[in-house]
Amino acid sequence: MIVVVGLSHKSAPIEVRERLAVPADGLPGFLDELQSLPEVGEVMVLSTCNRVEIYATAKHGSDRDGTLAADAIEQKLIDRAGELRSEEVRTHLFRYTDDPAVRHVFRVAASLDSLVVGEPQILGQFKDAFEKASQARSVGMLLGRAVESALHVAKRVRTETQIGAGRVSISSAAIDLARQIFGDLSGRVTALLGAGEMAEDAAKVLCEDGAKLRVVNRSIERAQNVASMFKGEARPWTDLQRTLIEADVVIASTSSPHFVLTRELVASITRARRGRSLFIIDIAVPRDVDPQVNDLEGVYLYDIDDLEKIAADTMRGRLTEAQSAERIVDEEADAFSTWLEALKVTPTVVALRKHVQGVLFAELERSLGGKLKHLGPAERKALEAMVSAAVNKLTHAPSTRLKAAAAEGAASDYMDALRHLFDLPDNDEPAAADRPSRRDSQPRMSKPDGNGSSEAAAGEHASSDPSAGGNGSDSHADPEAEEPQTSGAVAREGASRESSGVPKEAS
Amino acid sequence: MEPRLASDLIVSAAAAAYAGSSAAFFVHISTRGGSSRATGLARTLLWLGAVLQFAFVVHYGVVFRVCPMKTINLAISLAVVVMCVAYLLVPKTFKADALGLFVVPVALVFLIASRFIGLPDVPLNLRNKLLPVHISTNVLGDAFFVLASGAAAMYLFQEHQLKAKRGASVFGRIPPLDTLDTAAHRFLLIGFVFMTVGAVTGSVWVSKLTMGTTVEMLRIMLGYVTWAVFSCVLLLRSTLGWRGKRAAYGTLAGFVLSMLVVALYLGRAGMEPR
Repeated sequence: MIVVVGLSHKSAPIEVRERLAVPADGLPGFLDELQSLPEVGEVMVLSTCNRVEIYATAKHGSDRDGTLAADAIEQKLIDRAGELRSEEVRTHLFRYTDDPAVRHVFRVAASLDSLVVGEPQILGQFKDAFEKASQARSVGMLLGRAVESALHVAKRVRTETQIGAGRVSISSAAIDLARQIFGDLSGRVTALLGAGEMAEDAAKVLCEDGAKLRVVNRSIERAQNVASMFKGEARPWTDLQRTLIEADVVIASTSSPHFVLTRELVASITRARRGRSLFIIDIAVPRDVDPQVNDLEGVYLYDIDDLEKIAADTMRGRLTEAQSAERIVDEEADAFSTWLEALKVTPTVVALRKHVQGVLFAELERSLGGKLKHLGPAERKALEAMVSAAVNKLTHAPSTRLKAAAAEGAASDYMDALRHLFDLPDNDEPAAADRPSRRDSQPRMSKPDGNGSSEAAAGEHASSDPSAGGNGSDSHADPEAEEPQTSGAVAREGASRESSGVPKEAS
Repeated sequence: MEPRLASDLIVSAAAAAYAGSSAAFFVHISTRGGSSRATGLARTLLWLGAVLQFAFVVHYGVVFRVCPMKTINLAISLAVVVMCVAYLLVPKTFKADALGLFVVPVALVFLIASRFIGLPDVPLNLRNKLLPVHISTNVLGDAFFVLASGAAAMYLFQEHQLKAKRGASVFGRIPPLDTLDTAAHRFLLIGFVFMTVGAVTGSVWVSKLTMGTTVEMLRIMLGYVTWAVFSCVLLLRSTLGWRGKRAAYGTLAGFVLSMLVVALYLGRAGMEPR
């Protein structure tokens, strides 16, 4: 049972989020604290500026709806809030269990739950959180698989939708436009007129792309300060015309009450520019550039409203794409659910096989010690092989049908019936695999197969082995190929499987 | 199989590949942010179409014993192949995928034209050793003019979008404005070199055409005007910095003229019995 408890920008203000935020150096300790909770199995912490979320598994099979684990985690988070009243914190916390929890994890990784839908940073933060949890050995098979699937979802969303296309901030929209005009910005000259904060942001991104910066300001000292930040060149206001001739991109953000770039001024430099394109970004209010400048050939003027409109259009486009992304999340969540259901039946299948094998081999041993005492080693071996094949055949059909029922989400009644009819032991007791051990807790890093079958299939294969039990011919034809198992051998196999592969919380 | 049926099958397959490629390029252009899958498919289909068209020329030439460089329509077919390959070999850094939307339909039109228009024989009095050079350089020049005018058309479209404050509408779909301007200039320059050779070799026949038809004279005159327009575009760019919008209009004007010349050639071929 997967459990999610936390808060995000959607549920809590920054004042609450910052109280619960887990700093990077405090993460290992917090993971240890969460792992020490008796109700919690695997655990991972995602702490960013927009969210603090705990992904965990319920430790006990008896905690069927994950309430105990969620309560314990919630209390742990409330304890972190310090001075804030617990009831106040509680109102901001959300919790999901089972399928909604999986969907939430997938949505977070795919950036569908982000403040800016489609922003790419969350995926890196998500991977980082997973890595930290892996290092702390706090994730095992179930949570590991959920995270892997979430990463797969994020990849699909990125490649199959346009959710990340375009920029949604004003400065980044301006940069995109500059790239659309000039392509590579490396070596392009950017002129900064005035020096507002937003202009500096845009200049910073342009310089990161290799553009050369010229800062023109009425105060040369201020120009020098800004220029030194980006290894640019400061120029006095009197050099404005020369700078405009050199520039490819102009960012205007002076506090002048009137236009500093008039149509006449820009027209006067176009001949000297020899037809080169000029992109002017006017982010000043009131505007610095005469709108008629846009009518000049080869000059492209965008003011703050134009850029905001582009950013808003991009955001609308992303929200449209988010609908397609939600469908991907649904598909993958269903696949995960199918895998999880298949995983739930594995202990029952193992128990059934163990039971049948135990009964038949006990009878065989009794016969071999009595009426069949006279049989030689070869005959005994052949009999053991025959009984093994019978076990496979007997358990094959129930195993296969149980798996099929699990895929349809209808395995619960069958499992109860099997346990009742064959008097199989209940699998609600905690097992060694409930908590990821130091030895075997490293999650599998292979790509999820999408139909959620690998681990469950492996578990079932080991327990019912359709290839061996489907027709039994292999074991009859070549008794040497399959080692005859005594009930003791079967018990050992079952014990080893329980301790290494099948977590009890899956049920 | 009957040779004409075989060549028709090849042409049909090439036409299908070009049509599919055009559709895929269209999907790329109409997808927000562009579609790398669509462009991948479009480029593959374009390669296929070019190979099939080349196969058509070879097949037709071998079976009917026709030298492609001595017949306008097969030569145009070859030029289209050159145009497609030149486009496909443009470095990816140019991000010229959208140009395919212009190149491929042109290839399709010329493919169909070369199939349905007869193979004209050059009059005996005009045949000499320079004839293949004249035809091949002219059609190669036309191939590059198609590419140049495609880039120019896209430049004008994007320039209009940027001026109208709709710059974001082309993000990821159309190459950057300066890239298109540079591409149009380079294609034009290459085409102009071929065309100049074609004009020089063609001048050899001018004296023999004094008794030619009015259409032939018109075609020759248009050829010279085209050459003059292109040379003006290049000259004004290098001397007065006429680039961008003005260069794009000039390139398109020259392209229209060059297509008129080709149409007159093909029109003459169409009037002759096959």
